[in-house]
Amino acid sequence: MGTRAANRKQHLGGLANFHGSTFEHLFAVWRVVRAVTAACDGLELELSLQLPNCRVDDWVEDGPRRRDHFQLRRRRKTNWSTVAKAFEWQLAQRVASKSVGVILVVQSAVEARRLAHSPGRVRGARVDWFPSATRPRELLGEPRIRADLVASCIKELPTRSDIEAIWAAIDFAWWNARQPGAFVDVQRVIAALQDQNLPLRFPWQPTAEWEQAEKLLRRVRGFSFSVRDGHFLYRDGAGTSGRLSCRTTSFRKFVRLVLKQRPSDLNATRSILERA
Amino acid sequence: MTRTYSQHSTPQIRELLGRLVDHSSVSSYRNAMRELGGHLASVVETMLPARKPFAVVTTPEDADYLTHGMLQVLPRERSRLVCYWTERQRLEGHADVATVIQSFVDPAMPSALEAVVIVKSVIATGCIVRTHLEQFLTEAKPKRIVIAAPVMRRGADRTLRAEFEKNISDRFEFVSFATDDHYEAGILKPGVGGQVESLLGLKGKPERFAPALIAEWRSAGERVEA
Repeated sequence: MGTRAANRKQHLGGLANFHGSTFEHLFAVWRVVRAVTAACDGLELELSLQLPNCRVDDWVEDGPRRRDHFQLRRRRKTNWSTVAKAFEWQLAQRVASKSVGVILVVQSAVEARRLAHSPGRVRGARVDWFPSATRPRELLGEPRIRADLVASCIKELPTRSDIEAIWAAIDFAWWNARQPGAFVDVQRVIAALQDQNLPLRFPWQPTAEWEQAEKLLRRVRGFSFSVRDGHFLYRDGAGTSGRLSCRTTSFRKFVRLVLKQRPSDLNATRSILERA
Repeated sequence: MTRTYSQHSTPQIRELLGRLVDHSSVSSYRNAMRELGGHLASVVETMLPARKPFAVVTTPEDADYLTHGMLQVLPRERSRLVCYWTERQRLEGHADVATVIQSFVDPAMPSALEAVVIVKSVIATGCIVRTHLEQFLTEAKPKRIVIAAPVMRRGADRTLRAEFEKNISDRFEFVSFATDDHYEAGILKPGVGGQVESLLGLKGKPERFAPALIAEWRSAGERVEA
């Protein structure tokens, strides 16, 4: 299977599968808006964009207090265009009421002006443009542009990583979705993201403890594992497989136990996984 | 609280269902579940294809009791055990959410299966059954899907069917001994007497605990591999 086909298959519904690309597109946008909103408000993520005839499913990660999980799932016999309309409406409401920064990145000042006056664009969105020869990420280094972006578009972000994550998404789309005369809005930015299972965050950074534990686990015969999208995926060769989000307390506990007990066989490793 | 018994329930089964509700001890509750598993298997067996393997999908909580009882009656050589560990959460104003965090799939599971039996001690919202089935359907496409539970909430079959496309839901066959209609605070009444996890003495077990049945099947698989 080619890479493109493999990616398409992988994207049919994220971790739980079952869905189509339209769903993924909507869900990805929904997730971005939530993340931006949460960042702007400094609030916990909330299920405020629940759409009619969709249910929320799938885990993303957990925090110290509670688990956050969200995936829209279409109910039977729901027309996607109905969901799309509801989504657009909610998005517009969200943008209008919360002043969420929706950045429309275009390739020229002419395009920026055209879009700024376009009756069809989302209310509250800000249009920006960059010289096509410059990657947006490079512009982040320019204090004026960065200050302008933060001040006018993404207010009071609590962390640099939030800005970076949004920026990285735009940056990515800039190179993958640009065409002569085209523009990149948030939807297109996210539609262009290769891995839509990723929460809008930087990839999980392996810790020194994990790196030590990883070496110990590599020695366990029959136990195979990998870390993908911030998830520890394991398989014991005897039918058992599972996953742990690397951002969870369970995973941190697992790592601590591996370092403490230094498992040498499958049974010892299983026992640690059970207790994590 | 209205309970309706199905055509499959005999006086002995009704006595066992009553024992679940009037549970005197963890061991008697466990025994009743095992026995009910055996009775369920007797009904389910008639629906399974002859001489062909079939999958039995269980939760870790039910594995050592209801499912164990079933597997004592069902032909072992044709049974393929699958267990899904799930995380479940109730969301105010939304449907319950369950996600599979670990799975055991019999290493001898063939790529094509005629039938699957989804086993659960009680089906109230259908959230776990739905998740198990969705997960299983990513691995196999059985022609017959038997959903078996000693007790079900009235209408749970309709709810579950509505969660799937018609070409899938048309394959559903439900087996239960009783249906109840009183559902309150997340508990079906009289149902199976309350929260199965507590009544089976499993409260406080870690999320990924391995039931003895899984350990047994896993080691059997490892012996074959060796």
